[in-house]
Amino acid sequence: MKWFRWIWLAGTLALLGKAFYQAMYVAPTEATMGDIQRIFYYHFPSAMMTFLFFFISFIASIVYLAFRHRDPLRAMNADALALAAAEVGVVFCTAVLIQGPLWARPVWGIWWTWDARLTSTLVMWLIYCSYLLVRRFAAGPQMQTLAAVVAIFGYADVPIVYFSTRWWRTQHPSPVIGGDANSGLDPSMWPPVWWNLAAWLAWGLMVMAFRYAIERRRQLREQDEALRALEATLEATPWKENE
Amino acid sequence: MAHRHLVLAYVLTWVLQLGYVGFLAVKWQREKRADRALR
Repeated sequence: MKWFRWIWLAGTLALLGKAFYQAMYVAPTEATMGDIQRIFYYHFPSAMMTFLFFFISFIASIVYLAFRHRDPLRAMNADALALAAAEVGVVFCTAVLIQGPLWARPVWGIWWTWDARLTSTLVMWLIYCSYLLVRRFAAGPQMQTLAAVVAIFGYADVPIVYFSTRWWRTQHPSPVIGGDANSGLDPSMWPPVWWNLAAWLAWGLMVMAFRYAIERRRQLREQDEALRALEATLEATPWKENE
Repeated sequence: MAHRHLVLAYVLTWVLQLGYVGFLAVKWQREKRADRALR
């Protein structure tokens, strides 16, 4: 399977190169904003990946809670996936929160405004940061359960972020997909969008798989250590027969 | 200003993503070392 990883890495880098070229040289210059609009080709896929990876974390957390007593092995796999997806999601969400203000400053004249889309995105980022902090600092056997509950309840903010531009009047531009007649993209802008979505999806999945492998390794080592400690205790115990 | 912000957005995105992958690589090495110490 090692060859598959290298092919995936090569394919992802090729896709990212192509996507960058599309965003910089193929996409037309937007009429009112000019070149600064090209941030959109990284911003929109980053936001979509944030939603996708938080969704994976949400589903994996449900699987963990459902199987933690019945099938611990499956539950541990789900727990590792939930952590990996949440971490990758936080990285993409951080990218969104960096790119947004860098676009807003020249276009709106301000770095930030407390409108519904921006505020709910910041809240989402804080929720998933708190999820990672729970995983890092909470101790004891209930940590995974607690983290899964945080991930499930935290996911409630994701649809709020997505629909915020539809539900409320926001300064943030109207939705690209499924908006009203005044929203959407020029057809010539869609190929760069698709290329960037595909490239960042390939990248995100690759990084998530790497993070998952690390977490599984850590879990197995922890089990091994616990088993050895148990064996050492049993060997040190002076058993008395016929007691 | 617009061009500077465009370049900064792309560069910072890559710094963030590659920084995270670098952090994972360090974590991976640490796990491997701990594994070896156990065996």
